[in-house]
Amino acid sequence: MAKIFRRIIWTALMILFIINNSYSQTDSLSYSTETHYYDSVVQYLTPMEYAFMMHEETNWLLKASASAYWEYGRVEGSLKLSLEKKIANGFSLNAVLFNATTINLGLSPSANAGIEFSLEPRWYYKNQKNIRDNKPTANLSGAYVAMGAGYRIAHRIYDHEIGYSNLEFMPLFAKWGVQRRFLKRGFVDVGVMAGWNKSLSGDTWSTLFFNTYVDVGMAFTRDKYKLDFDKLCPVLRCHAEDRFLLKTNLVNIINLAYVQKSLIGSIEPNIAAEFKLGSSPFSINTKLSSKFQYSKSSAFDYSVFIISPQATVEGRYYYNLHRRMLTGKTGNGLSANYISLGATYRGEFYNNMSPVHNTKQENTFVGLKAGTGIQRLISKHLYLDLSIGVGYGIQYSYDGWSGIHSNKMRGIFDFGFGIGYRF
Amino acid sequence: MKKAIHKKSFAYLLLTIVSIGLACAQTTVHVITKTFDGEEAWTEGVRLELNSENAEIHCEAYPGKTIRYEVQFIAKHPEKESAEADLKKMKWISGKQGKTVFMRNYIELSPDDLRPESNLKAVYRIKIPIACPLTINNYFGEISVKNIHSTLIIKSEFATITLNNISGNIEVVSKLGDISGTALNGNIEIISNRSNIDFSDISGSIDIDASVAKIALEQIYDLIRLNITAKKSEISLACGNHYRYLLGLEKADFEKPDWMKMDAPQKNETAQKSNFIAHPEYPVIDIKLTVGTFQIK
Repeated sequence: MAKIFRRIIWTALMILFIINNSYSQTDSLSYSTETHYYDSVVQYLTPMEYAFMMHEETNWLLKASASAYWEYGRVEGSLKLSLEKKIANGFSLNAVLFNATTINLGLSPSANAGIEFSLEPRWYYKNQKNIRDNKPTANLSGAYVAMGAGYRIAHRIYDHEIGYSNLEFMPLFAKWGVQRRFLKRGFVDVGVMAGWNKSLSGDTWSTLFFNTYVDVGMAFTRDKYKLDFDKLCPVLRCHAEDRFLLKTNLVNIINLAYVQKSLIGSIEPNIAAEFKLGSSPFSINTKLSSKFQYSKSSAFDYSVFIISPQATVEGRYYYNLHRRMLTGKTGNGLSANYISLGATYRGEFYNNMSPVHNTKQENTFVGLKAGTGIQRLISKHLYLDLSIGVGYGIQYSYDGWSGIHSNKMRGIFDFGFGIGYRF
Repeated sequence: MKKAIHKKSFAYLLLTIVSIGLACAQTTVHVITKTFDGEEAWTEGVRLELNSENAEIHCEAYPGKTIRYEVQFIAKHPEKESAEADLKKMKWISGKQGKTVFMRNYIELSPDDLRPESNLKAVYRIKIPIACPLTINNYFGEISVKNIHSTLIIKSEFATITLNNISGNIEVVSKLGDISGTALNGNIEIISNRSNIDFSDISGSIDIDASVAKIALEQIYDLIRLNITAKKSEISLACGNHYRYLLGLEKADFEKPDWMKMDAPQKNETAQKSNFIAHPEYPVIDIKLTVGTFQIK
C-alpha cells in the first residue's frame, strides 16, 4: 500500500517537475536569417494632433476669414482670403487678399475702404527637427517665421459730398506665428507681427506697427482621408461634463502701432465665467473686460487715453446640446450652439490731454442684449466662442468740450469673436 | 482494490494541485448591474442609430411597430463602492431628432472625476420593426444582428460582428473586429482593417475592401458581382466554376484550379493579371490582391 502511494507521489512530482522545466526550456538553439519587408514607420498621433490634421500631407491651403464689429456708430468689417502653397520642405508662400471697410455713422458720416494684396514666404522652422525626432509633421502646420511685402490702396470718403482720396501704401512686415489646421475645414493662425506701412502717397504718413493677430476661419484643401470624429473625443470632449468655465479671450489682446511721431497702443484683458444650471442646457455667462488704449502724438504734444470697460450677464440656452449628446459629439457640458439673453454695460471714457487743457468725454451704454452663438470646448484648455447679437438700451454721454450731458435710446450690434484659454 | 486506491489517490492529488492553483488567482469581484427598458414610437422612414461604447449589442427585427430596448449597465470591481461609483459614470441618453431615434451610452466624467477603474460594459437587447433602418457605431464589445431586412450600417472598432439573416443594403466598417455572417443578401459593402471576414450563404452585390484579413466566402449563390480589393490578406472562395474571374494579383500565391483556363494571362515575377471568361453570361468576380494568398474551391 505504502509502495503504491510512494509511486503515485513520485509520478506526480515528476510530472510537476517536467511541466515546470518545460516553461524554461533552453536546450535547443537554432539560427536562421530571413528577409523582411518592413512596414513604414508607424506614427502614433495624439487626438490633438489628429484634430490638427497632422495625418494629412497638406500641400496647399485656401483660407478665408472674416470679422465684423459695431461700436458707437462705427461699423467695421473685414474679409481675408489667402492661398498658401508649399514651395519646398518646410517653406511655403502665402498670398493674401484683404479687404477692410469702416463706416462711421453720425453727424458727419464717413467711410474707409481698403484692399491689400501681400505675399509672404513662410519658414516652418521646426519641420526638420520634427522629422529628425520622428514627430508628426504636416506641411503648412506649426510655428513659422515670415517676412512679406504688399500693396494697399485705401479709398477714403470724408462724407457724401465733400470729397474722397485714394491712398496707397506698401506694407513691409515680419511675423512669428503658429498655424494649425483644425478639423476638416478650419484653421487658426496666431502670432505677433511688426512692420512698416510705407506710404506711397505724398500726403499720408508712413507708420510703424506691432500687434498680435488671431486669424480663425475656414480652410479648404484636398485631403486623402475621411476624418474619424470618434478619434477626436478627447479633443471635442464628448465625455466631459463641464459645469463651470473660467475663460479669457486672446483675440486682439495687444495692439501697438507707431504712426510717424504718434504712438497708439491698446491692451484688452478680459475674463468670463460660465455656470451650467444643473444638468439642464441652460447656463449663466458673465463677462468682464476693459480695453486700455493710449495714443500719443509728439508732433502736436497731445495724447489720448481711453478706457473701455464692458460687463455682460446673460442666460444661455444651448439648443442643440441634446442632439450633440445623442450623436456622441459632446457630454452634458457647455459645448454646443446657443441663444442668449442678457444685460450689457459698455463704457468709453476719453481723457484728452494737452499742455493747454485736459478734457473728458464719456459714453455709457446700458441695455438688454439678445444673440446667438456657437461655443466649442477644445481639449482641456481651449475654447472657441463666436456670437452675433443685437441690443437696445440707453446711452449716457458727456462732452467735456461743451460740458453737455445727454442721453438717448439706441440700438447696438454685437459681433463676438472669442478664441482663448480656459483655466 | 489496488487499482481503485491508485485512481482515488491520483484524483485527490490532482484536485489539490488544481485548487492550489485556482486559489492563488482567485479574487472576489463585485458585479453591479443596472437594468432599464423602454420603447420608442416608430413610423415609416424613421431609423435607429446607436452610438455605444464597451457595448454588447443584440439587435433583431420583429413584427411590431415600436423600437423596444432593454439595456444593462454592468460594473465589475473587487471593491463594491468603486463598482457602484463607476456605474454612475456610465450615462444613457436616448431621443428622437428628426427622422432618427438615437441611443447612446457613454462614460461621462466631470473635471474632478477619476477614470473608472471597474470593468464597465453595456448590454443592449433591441427589437426593431422589420422596415426600420439601423445604424450601429460601437467601440469595444460585440455586435450581433439578425433578421434585418432594411438598411444596416455598422461602424465599429475592437468589436466582433455577427450577422445572421440580413437583406437589403449592408455596410460594415470594422477595425480590429472580426466579421462573420450567414444568410446575407443585397448590396453588401465591407471595409475591414485587421478584421477577418467569414461569410456563408451570401448573394447579391458584394464589395469588400480589406487589409490584413482572412477572407472566407462560402455558399455563394445568385451573385450579381463580387469585388474584393485586399492587401496582405488570405482570400478563400468556395464558388467553383460558375463565374467569370478577373484577377489582379501582386506578390500573391494562387493555385489555379484545373478547370480554370486563363485568357491571355500577363505574368511576371511578382504580378499576375488574368481573365477567366469561360462563361461570358456569368457574373463577375473581380479580385485585386496585393501580398497574400488566393484560393478558389
